[in-house]
Amino acid sequence: MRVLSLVLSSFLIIGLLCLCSMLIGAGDTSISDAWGYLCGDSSLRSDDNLDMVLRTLRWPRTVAALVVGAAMGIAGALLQTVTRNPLADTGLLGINSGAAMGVVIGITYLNVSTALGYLLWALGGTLLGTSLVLVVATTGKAGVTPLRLILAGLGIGSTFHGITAMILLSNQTSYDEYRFWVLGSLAGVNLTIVLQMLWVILPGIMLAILLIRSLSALILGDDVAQSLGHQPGKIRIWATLAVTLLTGACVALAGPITFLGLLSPHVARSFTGHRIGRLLTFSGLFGMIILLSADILCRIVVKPFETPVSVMIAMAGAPLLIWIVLSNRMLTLSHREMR
Amino acid sequence: MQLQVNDLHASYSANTPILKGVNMTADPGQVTIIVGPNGCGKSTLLRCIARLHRPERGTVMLDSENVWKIKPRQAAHRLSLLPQSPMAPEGMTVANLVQFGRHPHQGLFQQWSDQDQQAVTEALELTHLADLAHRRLDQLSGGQRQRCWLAMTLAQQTPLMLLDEPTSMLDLGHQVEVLNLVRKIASAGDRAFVIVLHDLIAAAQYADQLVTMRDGEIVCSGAPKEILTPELIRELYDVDVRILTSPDNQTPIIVAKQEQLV
Repeated sequence: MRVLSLVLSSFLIIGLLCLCSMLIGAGDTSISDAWGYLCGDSSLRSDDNLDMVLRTLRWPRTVAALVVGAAMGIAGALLQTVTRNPLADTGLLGINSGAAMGVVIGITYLNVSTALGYLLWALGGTLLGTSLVLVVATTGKAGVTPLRLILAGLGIGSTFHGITAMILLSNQTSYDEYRFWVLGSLAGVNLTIVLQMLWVILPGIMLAILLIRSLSALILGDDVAQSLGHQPGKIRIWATLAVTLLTGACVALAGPITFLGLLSPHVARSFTGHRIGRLLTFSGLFGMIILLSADILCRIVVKPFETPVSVMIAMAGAPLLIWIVLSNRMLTLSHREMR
Repeated sequence: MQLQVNDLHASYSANTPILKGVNMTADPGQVTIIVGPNGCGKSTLLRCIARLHRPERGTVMLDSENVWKIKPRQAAHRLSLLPQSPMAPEGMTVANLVQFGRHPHQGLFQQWSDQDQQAVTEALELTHLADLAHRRLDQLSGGQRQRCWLAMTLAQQTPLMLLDEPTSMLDLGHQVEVLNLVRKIASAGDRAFVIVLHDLIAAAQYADQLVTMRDGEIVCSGAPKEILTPELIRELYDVDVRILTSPDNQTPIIVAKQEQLV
C-alpha cells in the first residue's frame, strides 16, 4: 500500500515537473504565454517563436530529462548492487572516460561535429571501455568479484583519461568543443535522437528487469547465491552490460552527468529497503525527478544564461545526500554480518 | 543420496596443496562432522563439495553423479550450503530470507507455487520459527538468526546439506540449540548433513560419523565412540587429553589434561 502510494505520488510529481519544464525557460518567453499555448489558445498557437520554443526546445528537453534520469538512476542502482559498493557511480567502471575518449577522437581526427556523430563516438567509446574492463575482470581463476571489477574499471578509466588529455593538449579546437560537451547539458537535444536512443536504453532496462531475481540473491553474498543455483560471475557480466547500455546512451545524449547515478539509488534506498525490484523502480523514478528539477533550476538561477545541469545536480544533490546520511535514512549496502 | 569423495586434491596456489587425496563418504539420515586443527583443509573440503572451489583432481559424487559436471541450478536441487558468515541486508524479514531457499525451484517467469509455500512453511516449523516469520532478522538473537539461515537451506529441500561452522560465534545455549535441531532433522528424514566444526567437544557429542583431518589428509573416520582416543587427539592437535563418557548418552567427552604444576 505504502509502495503504491509512493509510486503514484512520484508520477504526480513527475507530471507537475513536466508542466513546469514546459512553462519555465531561460529566455524571455513569459509563463502565461507558454500556459496559453499549452491550453490551445489559437492566437498563441500561431505564434511561430512560441511554437519553436515549446515544440523544438522545451519538449525534447523534457523528454530527454525523463529518459536520461530514469536510465541513470537504474544504472546507478545496478552498479551499486553488483559491486556491493555504496559509492559506485558510473565513473567507476571507466564508462564516462570511455565515452569522453570516443568523443575526443571523433572531434580531433574525424572532424565530427553533429549531435549524432558525438553520440555514436561516445557510445563506441563506452562499449570499448566496458569490454576491456570485462576482459580484465574475467581473466584469472577467481572470477568476477566486486573488487576486480572496480580495479579494472579504475585502471582502464585512468588510461582512457590519459589518452584523452594527451590528444586534447595537442589540439586547441578539440579542447573547446570537448569542454562544452564534457559539462553535460540537456539543452539542444533533438527529439529524434532521444527516441533513437530508446533502442539502446530499453534493452538495458529489460536486462535489468531480468536480473532482479539473481541480483537479490547476490546481496546474500556470493557463496549463498551460488548455492542457490545462481552464477555470480555471470550476473556481474550481464549487469555490467546493462549499465553500459544505459549510461552509454545517456552520456552520448547529454554528456557525462555525474553524481545522478550515485544520488538517486541512495534516495530510493531510504524508501525501499533491500528489495531490488523496488530499488530499481524507485531509482528510475527519483532519477527522473532529480534530473528534471535540476534542469528546470538550471534555467532560472543565472537567467538569461544557463548552468550546466551536472553542476546543478552536484550543488543541489550534495545537501540532499548529506541529509539522508544525517537523518539515518541511509540503509547501507555493506550489511552487517548476520549470524 | 550418498556423498562419496574420491581422491580429492585442491590448492589455492600451485605450490601449496591444501587437500592431498581426500576420501570420505556421508550417508543419508546421518550427521557427518569434519574436525581438525586450523588450516587442516576442512573448510576447503566443504567448499569443493559445495562447488565453490574447483578441485584439481578427484571427484565429488552424489550417487552416480559428479557434482562438478552438473549445471549450477541442478546442483542447487541436490546440495545446499550454509556458509561461514552469511550476510543479510538490513530490513529483511525471516520469511523473506527463507523464501530465497526456493530460488532453484523457480524459473524466471514462474510464480510462487503452492509447493514453494509448503516448503517454506515446513522449514519454518522444523526450525520453530513460524511465530517469528514476520520479524526482522536484525531484531533476532544470534541463535535465532542462525536458525533462519538453516531454515533457508532446509527450504531448498536438498538431500545433501552442508554447514560451515554453524556454531562459531554462538554462545553455549545457542550452540546447543542449533546442533540439537540439526540432530533432530537428520534423524527424522533422509537428508545427509556434512558439517565443518572447530569445536571437537561438540562434534564428538553430535556426530554419527566423525571425520578427522590433518594437513590436508584424512586421519581417520568413524563413530566418535569408536575412533576417539587420546592418541588420535595427540596426533591431531598436539595436546594430551582424557576421554570421559557422558552419563546421558555414553558419547565421548574430551577434557584437556591439566599441567602438573608441582
